[in-house]
Amino acid sequence: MNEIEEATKAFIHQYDDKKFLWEETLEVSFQEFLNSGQSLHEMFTKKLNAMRTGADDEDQKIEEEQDSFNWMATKILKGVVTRYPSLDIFDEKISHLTSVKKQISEMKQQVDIGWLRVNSVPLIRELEKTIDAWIVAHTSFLLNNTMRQITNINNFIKEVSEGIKVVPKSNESEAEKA
Amino acid sequence: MKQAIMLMKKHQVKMDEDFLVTLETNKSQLKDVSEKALGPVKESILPLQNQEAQNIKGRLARFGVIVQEFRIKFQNTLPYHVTDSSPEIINSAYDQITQFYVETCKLESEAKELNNLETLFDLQRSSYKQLKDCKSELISLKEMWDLVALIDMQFDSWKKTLWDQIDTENLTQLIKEMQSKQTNPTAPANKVISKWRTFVALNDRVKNMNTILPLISQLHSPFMQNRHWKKLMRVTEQHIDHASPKFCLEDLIKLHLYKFADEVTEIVDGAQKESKIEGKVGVIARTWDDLKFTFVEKGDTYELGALDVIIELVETQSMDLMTMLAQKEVEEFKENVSKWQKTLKTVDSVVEIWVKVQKNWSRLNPIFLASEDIRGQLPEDTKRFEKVDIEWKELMRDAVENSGVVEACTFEGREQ
Repeated sequence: MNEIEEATKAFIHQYDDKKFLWEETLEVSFQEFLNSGQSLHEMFTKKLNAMRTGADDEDQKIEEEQDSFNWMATKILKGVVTRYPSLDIFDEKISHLTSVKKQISEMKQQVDIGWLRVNSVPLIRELEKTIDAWIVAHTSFLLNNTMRQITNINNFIKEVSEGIKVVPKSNESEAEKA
Repeated sequence: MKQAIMLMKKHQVKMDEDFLVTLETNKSQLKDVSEKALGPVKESILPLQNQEAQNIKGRLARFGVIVQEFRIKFQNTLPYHVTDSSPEIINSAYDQITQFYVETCKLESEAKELNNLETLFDLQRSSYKQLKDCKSELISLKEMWDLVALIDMQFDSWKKTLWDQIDTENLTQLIKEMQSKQTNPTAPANKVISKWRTFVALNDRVKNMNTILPLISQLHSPFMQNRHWKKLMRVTEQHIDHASPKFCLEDLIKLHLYKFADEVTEIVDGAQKESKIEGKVGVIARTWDDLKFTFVEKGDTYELGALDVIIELVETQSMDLMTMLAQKEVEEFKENVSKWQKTLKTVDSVVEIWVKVQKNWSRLNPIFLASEDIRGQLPEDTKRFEKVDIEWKELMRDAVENSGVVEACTFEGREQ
């Protein structure tokens, strides 16, 4: 009896490193993952602040840089999530989730522990669905965020192209027109 | 983005189109657009740009004047140097800060717009340092008035503390903390505001409180009597009702004790010394109230017993009284001290004479009353002695009946 109990415990133990799949909520966990990164604005501001020397003309240039970044951000980063970890961390995370998925798929569907037969098929199926959702959450974030940036760049190019299509011939300024 | 696309490819993410190709296309389109914009387009709009730049320069100049005037108004209006403090003054300061904050933000917004135009029209970007100074000073002013409000509130909460509940030790500790942190002019947080008179005045108020508290602690002395409080009122030229159940810290603050630190110390020290004098005079009075002559029976009369204690007490206590009279704090008890000095002097001289008379009587008594020869040879002297003997015996009888030293010595005509 004791041997069966021990063997059952060992069988359960193989799921230990996968328990995040049922103990954690995907949305919450993924948001925490994103929040662990630094926002682009923060990174840029930090970089600029490191360049500050205290000299007025230098600081003026830095402010111009900041304004320029902010202006570009309103165009290119519109609707884009700017706080997320580095791509290396993303890679690491997705690779880990993929390896967990592989482990789940390689698990024995039926295990005999003495007189006890365990049918793991329903569990494996559910875990495969869950791990897929986790992988998709990470990859689709990258996909959507990148698509949005590309779309924004496209829109920006269109806007500028439209703007410079007609070269004004009149010498009358906008102010004078007004 | 390229790295993100590569990463997605690595993890076999399905993409509707090849984003890498799209990205490359975007890159070349962006390059084309930039070349066109910075090349022929820029060239063709240059005259217009220059003309508009001129208009903008005019606007910039006008705005520069506005900013300059605003800065002057800002510096002349805002409460940097208000030395008084009250809830009304604090509220008014906050109102001014808020009003100028709104105006500064409005001008900042306009400055930003002009900065954008400057960038767009390749003009040198104006820094509007005055606006930046205004903004940073507004923050400092707000911090300074927050400090004033906080410390005033703290002091107000202390003011209603009743006299016997004032914990000067605890308040002094709090004041020390204020001085080392909040109102410390050398603290980095106070670098800007430490030059403003409002801060200096606040710091002075805290310093004054720090001076007042030890004085209040001194005034809690058990030796302080009504006359000492009256003296304090005379010194400070203020009136307080120290015996009132409502007597509180605020009443003492009104005395501006920080101006009279030496006087307060002198009054309290004086009270203690007076109490000592009062105590010593009381001891002297009690001693002599209880002190009686001892007598030894001698035939049908009495003689004075041992006088060592009386003589020693007269000597030491006369010295004590002389020392007391030399102190300026004796004023209140001068009459009593002088009375005792005179009494002891009388005791001293009466005892001296008494002893002398007793000695003579003892010597002459056997001569005149026991020797018939001498009585016969000196009848006049014998008569005189007999008279003295009667008087002496009467005196000794009276003294035995009223043996209190002071009573016996100060009895009218005793010294004669």
